[in-house]
Amino acid sequence: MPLRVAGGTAIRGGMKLRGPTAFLVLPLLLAACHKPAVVTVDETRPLTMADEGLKVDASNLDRFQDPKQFPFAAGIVPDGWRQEAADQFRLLNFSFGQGGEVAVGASRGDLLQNINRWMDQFSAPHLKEEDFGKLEIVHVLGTDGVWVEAKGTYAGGMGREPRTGQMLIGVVADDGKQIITVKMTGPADEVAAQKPALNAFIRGLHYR
Amino acid sequence: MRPQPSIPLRILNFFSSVGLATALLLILMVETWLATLEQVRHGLFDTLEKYFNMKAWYVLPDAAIMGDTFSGKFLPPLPGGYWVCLLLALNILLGGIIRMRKGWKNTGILLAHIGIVVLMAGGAVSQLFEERGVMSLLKGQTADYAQSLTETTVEVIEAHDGKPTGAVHFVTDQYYRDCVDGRTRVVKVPGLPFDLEFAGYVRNADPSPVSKERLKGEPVVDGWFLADIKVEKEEESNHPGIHVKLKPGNGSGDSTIALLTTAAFQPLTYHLGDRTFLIRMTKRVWPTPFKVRLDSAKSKFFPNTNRPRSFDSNITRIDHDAETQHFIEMNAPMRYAGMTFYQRQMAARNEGGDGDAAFSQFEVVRNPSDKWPKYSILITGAGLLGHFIFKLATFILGRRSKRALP
Repeated sequence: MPLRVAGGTAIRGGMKLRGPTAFLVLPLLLAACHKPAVVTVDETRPLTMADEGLKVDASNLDRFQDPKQFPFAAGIVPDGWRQEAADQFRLLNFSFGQGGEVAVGASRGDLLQNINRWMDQFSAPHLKEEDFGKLEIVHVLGTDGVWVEAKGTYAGGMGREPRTGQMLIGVVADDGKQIITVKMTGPADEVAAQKPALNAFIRGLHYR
Repeated sequence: MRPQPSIPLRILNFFSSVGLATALLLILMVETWLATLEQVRHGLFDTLEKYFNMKAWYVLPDAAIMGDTFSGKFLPPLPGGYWVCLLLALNILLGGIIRMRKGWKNTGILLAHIGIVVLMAGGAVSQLFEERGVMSLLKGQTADYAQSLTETTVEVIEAHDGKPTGAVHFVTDQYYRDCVDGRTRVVKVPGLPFDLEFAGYVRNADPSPVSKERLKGEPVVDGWFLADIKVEKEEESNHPGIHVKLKPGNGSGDSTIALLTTAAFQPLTYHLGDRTFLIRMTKRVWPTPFKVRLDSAKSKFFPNTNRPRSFDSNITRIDHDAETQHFIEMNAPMRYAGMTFYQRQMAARNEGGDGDAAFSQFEVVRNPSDKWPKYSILITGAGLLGHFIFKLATFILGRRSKRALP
């Protein structure tokens, strides 16, 4: 007796479509389905604790960089400076002109060690404790630091080739927890021209 | 001459045959084996999607599981695991229940088949309706939400006086995950005065300031771009991102393009007229109808290893004003209000050392078929036990009656 389907109509022989083939058509059709180019979505949920602490008018820096890992923010970014990707050594990273760089970092050690690390990069003589009195005091991120300058061939480090005719200006400060460094390097003439800009940048630096 | 069965009957015979059941079980066994090997190379999430997603109606197993020399090659195709399971369920339903000879002698086997169908139906319900997230708590911390590890949403919250207010509108990633290779989609959200046009989905995004070294033609928005970085094998480690164009309704005003990613720490702020909206991409938030506070957590490890022996947490469930203490440990979850809280992970004070933990993580599951596997095992077990008892009794009685013969 033939199997009966809804409506009492019997399906008889002569049909060429085999069962397995018919079954495979379904997934084929489903796989071909794409969502339309315009859709209406009406889903909501109540506010939760996950929505606390959201900041209105957050800058891209606030949005995309972890304030714990990158605690500093630039209040002033001088004209012509370009923001570059930050990393664990360059918590704020900018470039300018033809090879000029500005990096804000936090490191360990003491003031003298960090200053002399910079001096080594320019093969300049080391500073001694008694030389501190001769250095200009600069206020940065709520603490006092010292202004450092060096000129000559910049070793650069990190696998870079040494470059001649370079200059370094910057600030090294100890806030009691870490050593804060603001370092500008690049071609001597470009760096010298950017000194007022760097001063303005340092004044604008703040914690996020 | 025996008449040829009709086509529908032949189809029914095919789908209810023992041969089909055997073939499907063999395919499932092979697929499970291949998927187990493949997930080592491609990660669990991708492998499950490849082998067992509803949209995967066929699978091309990666031949590299046999060695690096086969990298880039594939093994012969197999039918998608989801469809194999569906066919198997249909096969058992037709052959093992509907068409099976009914009678008290077969009651046990019938029950066992029903149990297996319940198990497979539970799997289907779970795949379609289950909500799963994690709740992470520091000691003393309270939370009223869990978050998905892999599913993302784009959320829009209106802010008044700098604070989120009202309901959170959200768009699940099924509406933008396919917005790649130039494909865009406009999502209209009732109640919002603007539409969202999604484009350029990135599975693992690193929001970065523009840098010549890293920029490879990605759209730049306000000096930042979403770098398309290597996709991690563990899907939960990826931070998806998307480019969204905010289009004021009725063509009033200019569109704004923005970058959204789960890697962001703060939302995008969008001002439209005198209204302010916060827009963000986040791992999907599942609100819980009660709060949970972590009171204490303890971890124990097998000696000199990082293998956990036990994790347990003391929590307080706060449902309106009623506070209830609960103890959760591995294999002893808390079930309440249709949700199940399983102990998932915790941070030990010392790595590999026993002691108090400062952090505990719970897997929060809302699954309508949560207990179906248990029911299935009970039904199947009862059926098989009944059948074995029946067979044993038949055997013993049969021997006695043979002995009784002269």
